[in-house]
Amino acid sequence: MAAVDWFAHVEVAEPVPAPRRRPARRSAQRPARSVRSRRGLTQRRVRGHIVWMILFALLLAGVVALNVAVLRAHVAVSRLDDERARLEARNQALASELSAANSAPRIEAAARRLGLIQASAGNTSYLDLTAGGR
Amino acid sequence: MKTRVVNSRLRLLLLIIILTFAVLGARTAWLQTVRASSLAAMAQTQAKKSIVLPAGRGTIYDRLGNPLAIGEQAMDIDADPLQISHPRREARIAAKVLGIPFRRVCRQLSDRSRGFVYIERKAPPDLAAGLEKRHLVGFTFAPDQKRVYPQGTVAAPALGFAGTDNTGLSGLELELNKQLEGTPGTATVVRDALGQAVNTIQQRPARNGRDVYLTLDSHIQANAEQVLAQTVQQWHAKDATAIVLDPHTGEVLAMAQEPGYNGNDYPAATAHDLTVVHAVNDVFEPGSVFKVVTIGGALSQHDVTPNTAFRVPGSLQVADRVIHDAEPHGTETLRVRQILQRSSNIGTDMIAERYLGESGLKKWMARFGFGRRTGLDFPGESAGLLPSYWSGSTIGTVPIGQGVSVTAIQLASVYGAIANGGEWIQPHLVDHIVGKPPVRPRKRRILEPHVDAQLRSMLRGVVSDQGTAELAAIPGYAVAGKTGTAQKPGPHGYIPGAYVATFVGMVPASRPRLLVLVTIDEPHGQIYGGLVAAPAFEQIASFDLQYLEVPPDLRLR
Repeated sequence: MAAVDWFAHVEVAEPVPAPRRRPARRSAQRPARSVRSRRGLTQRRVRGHIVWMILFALLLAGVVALNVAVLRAHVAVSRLDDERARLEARNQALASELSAANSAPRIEAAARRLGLIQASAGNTSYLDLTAGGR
Repeated sequence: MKTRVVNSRLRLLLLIIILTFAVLGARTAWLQTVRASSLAAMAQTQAKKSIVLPAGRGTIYDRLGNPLAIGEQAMDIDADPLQISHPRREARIAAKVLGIPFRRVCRQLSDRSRGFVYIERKAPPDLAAGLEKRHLVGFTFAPDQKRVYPQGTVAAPALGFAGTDNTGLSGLELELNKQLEGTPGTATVVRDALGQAVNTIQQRPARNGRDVYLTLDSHIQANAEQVLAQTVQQWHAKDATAIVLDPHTGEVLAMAQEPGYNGNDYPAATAHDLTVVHAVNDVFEPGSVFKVVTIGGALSQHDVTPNTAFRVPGSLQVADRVIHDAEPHGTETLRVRQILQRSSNIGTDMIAERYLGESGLKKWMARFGFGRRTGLDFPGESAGLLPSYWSGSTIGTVPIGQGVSVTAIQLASVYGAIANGGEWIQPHLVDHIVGKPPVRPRKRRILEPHVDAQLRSMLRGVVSDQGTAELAAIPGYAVAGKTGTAQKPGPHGYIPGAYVATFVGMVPASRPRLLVLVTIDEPHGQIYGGLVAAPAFEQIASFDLQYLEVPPDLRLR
């Protein structure tokens, strides 16, 4: 059982106006042409409506898509904010770790373990390059 | 007939659609008007949350750019016991994840008389994130910052401490608090039904504090602290202080003290009363290092020259006091140069009595800057204590540095002026604050250049086999300096057996690059500055000269 084409049926069911100032002998052919042209006009109207509906649907879908995209962008920004904060925290922790590793007492203790001693000031030789090598 | 049926169906459909929209419209109107405020409030609490964006506290760097005090991110975890239905279960989870005592957390969460309890302040972010993933009802996580001193003991007393709310409580953290602390921001976080943040609306961005670069050098500082620790241990002293100064700029390269403490354990240091910065906050009677004021004044007034001779007796009666020298001697002739070299109390008193008097001494003490603060950028600087009343014997005690109290930074800055051709430069600890123009230190002339040259030449004699500070000598370098050994005053006069041993010296003496002051409080076994403080000076200065690549000014034999 085919689905009922409600709107098409209604359009088709419209009473056809009586032809005026036409010769009677031609009336047998004329109604057929008129119905066809009117049916074509109706179909064009329907198509026009469908096009408008599709355009409207596309517009609505576009609005929804835009909103979804904005929401996704916000989520991405929030995630990136969290990531930035996490990396900043990591950076600070690493800077602190580096400073602790660079601290003079730690380096000196490590050097002492390796058997190194601090060079005395008096035993350090300096070259005076400003004196022209004299 | 067929058309009529179709039309009636259409009308029915239209009616259904209209009715549906009418119901929806009515419901919308109901929600938008009658229930609008209550639903909006509910949505606000469920989806939006206002948060405070903490401002990062500025980092304190040494002169080389090594961080000495840095802010690390942390999380404050709090809970609302009224929202928690299973306190034991949640306490067990929180205690396990954070590694904190279960009993404390359980007690806090079970206390339904309170709507807010801190579970953990400044928790490590990774642990806090682990707990946040458990989605415990009633728990809130807020970002915070934890102040960390990565070099531990290095310069800890000078740096001071920032408290739980990241406000400077002592030392440079207190002095620079305005610059270091930023302005917190505010934001609203919008969350979806799953609690995921979908938008963050910043009402006011957080503004971080400014970074600060100090004049301190962490290597010079660490070495000074290490030398002081050895010296205190060797002489069983109460405490010790050292200052290393660049005499040409007034920059403090090190301000060390022993016993020190770990900056990350400030509460323990407070409990043991270790947080006072002796170099700035404490005063002491300087003893013989003060004699440069007397002799510098007399030289400046052209009353004496380094070669002016005095007949110095074995003792000197000044009002009700008898003044002696450290080493007993009969009457002898000493030149001004020798009086300083041997640190003769009697010779110095004779110069003061004969040429300066009370008014002259007062004038020269003021000129050298004693009795007023140096203006060091550090909180709680003492101005020192000058005698308010001059009795008959005061003229016998003040010229030799007794009956007058000074701070170590005052003394270092005065000797810094002598090392700098007679021009005093305000000592300072802050090199610059990022984003602000550097502050120029104050300068003033206290000695004419020719008088300064004479005084410096005389101070070179102190560090010789004829002087009192032979142990301060550094091979290859000419050292000029002065020893001091002063009795410590107590509530009932001087404390028997309690002394402060001092040595302050400049090196290389021909063109000083460094000024080093060492004071040892209450040494045992030996008390003299030349024996106790001078070797510490030698160790500190030797390291610094080598570290700063200062070439020797003497030929080694």
